[in-house]
Amino acid sequence: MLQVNELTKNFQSFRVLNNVSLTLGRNQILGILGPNGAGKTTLLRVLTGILPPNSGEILATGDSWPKIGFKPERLHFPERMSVRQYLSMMASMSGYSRRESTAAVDQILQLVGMGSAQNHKISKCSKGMRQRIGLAQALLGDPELLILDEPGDGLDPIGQQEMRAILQMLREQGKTILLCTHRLNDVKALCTDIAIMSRGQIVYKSSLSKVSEASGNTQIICDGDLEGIRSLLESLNPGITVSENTVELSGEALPLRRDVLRLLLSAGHDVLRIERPEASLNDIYAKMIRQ
Amino acid sequence: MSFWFYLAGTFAYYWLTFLQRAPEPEYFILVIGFFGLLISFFSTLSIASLANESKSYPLFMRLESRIEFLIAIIVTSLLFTLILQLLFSLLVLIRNGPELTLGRVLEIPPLWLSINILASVVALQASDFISYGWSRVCIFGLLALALVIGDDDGATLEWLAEIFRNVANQTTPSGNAQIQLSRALNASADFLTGDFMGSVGNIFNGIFWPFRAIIDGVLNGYFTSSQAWAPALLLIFASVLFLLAADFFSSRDMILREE
Repeated sequence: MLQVNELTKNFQSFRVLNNVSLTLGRNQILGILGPNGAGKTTLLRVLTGILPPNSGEILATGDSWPKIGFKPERLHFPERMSVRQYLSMMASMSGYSRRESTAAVDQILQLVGMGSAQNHKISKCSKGMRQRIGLAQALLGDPELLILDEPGDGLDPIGQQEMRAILQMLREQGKTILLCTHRLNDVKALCTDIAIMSRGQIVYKSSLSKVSEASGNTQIICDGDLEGIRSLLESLNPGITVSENTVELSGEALPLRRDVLRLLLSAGHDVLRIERPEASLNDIYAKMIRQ
Repeated sequence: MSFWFYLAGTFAYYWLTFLQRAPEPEYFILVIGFFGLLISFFSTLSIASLANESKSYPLFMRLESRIEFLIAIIVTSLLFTLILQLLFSLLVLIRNGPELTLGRVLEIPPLWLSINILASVVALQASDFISYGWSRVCIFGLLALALVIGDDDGATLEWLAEIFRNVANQTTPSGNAQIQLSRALNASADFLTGDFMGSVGNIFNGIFWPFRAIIDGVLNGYFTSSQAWAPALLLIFASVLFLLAADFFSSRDMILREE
């Protein structure tokens, strides 16, 4: 849907985005993770045309430029309007006729769970309701691509759960979503792909399924202390470490699992279990940000 | 809030300019024309300021082109000005208005509209969307300079040169520094009244010519063939300024004000 090539954005002399490249395919849900100041919001603003890039290009991979729905991070609305009035205004801005607008607003209000609050003044709406209004306005016009900046921000746990459910529903409807967040749980629950940003660069890109498949270290847990054969085991490969009753294999040492097992058995140790913990998104995130 | 402020301003202006007297048609056309200039200038600034809030992001996202954003600001401001101008005119006409012939009524739309449009576009240059750093100081400084240098008979420059000469004459030529200062002041006075400044003055004079032509035309009760071009010239100025604004706006960062 979108191909971003070597995007760079400076604010005066400060480089906020540095050669950012990514691809966003149809029906993909890309979660952009990163700490505050990593350049996530700037990237979204460049993609939505709010900020022109200093260099690089954004190309539509389809026939035409996709319709984009955008929910900014900080939500400000005309406070005196009711929820319905505001959404009707946005619908008419999206090119709906009066009749179409009524139907579309009804549908969106139901989708985001604001049907009963449609006549509330926006000024009276809670933070959670405002997030829903923000999402609702982004959905008006049936955009092909939804760009959502921190959709769960400021929500209580139940609100977050509800927002996640709405996004899951949109995912099932086949929407392409670019989700910018620092909530790893949202990413795990919703995204098909992730990109981690740090200091204006994308430092890690992967599909979420690959992240969960990515094997971490293999741990062989035995019945007793392994101090006696520690030096022997560790001499096999630098990726082997022994502590108390556990042998841990990492990196290049992973294929040596059978040899290690044979050694342990021949030394008279019973192997209780072999664990292969998945590298968690949290681990990858922490590692990438520290780098 | 702003609306009530403008409405109060309208009544105050009406009270100041019309309540005390029965106006002639020329007075009616010029005073309300000037009122339009003020309202379109300030309402454009107000509307641009409202549009510069982050609540405009979703609106902005739905526009086909960025320039539509500027056009929306100008059109809103012009409609608002027109409403207030009509309200003002009605107020004057109902109380003790001038007797306007059809010819004079037909004069009004091109005069008022061209002035309003130009004022609105000039105000846009001062808005946060277009100005950058010291740009608004430069633009309005240049306008002020043009106003000083380009006045009809060069009287302001003559007056300034006279001040320089007086100061130069009062400087006691008792030391080298004083002599140098006196010479510099006299040279400055000569420069201000010289041919070069005369030519520059003529160029700047041209910028304000349409306004003078409109005032003269209205006061005379008829427009000469060259004066009749004045509203069109104002629209050309407005178009050039709008193109400059649009060109700058199309590539600038849209960082709207967070409340």
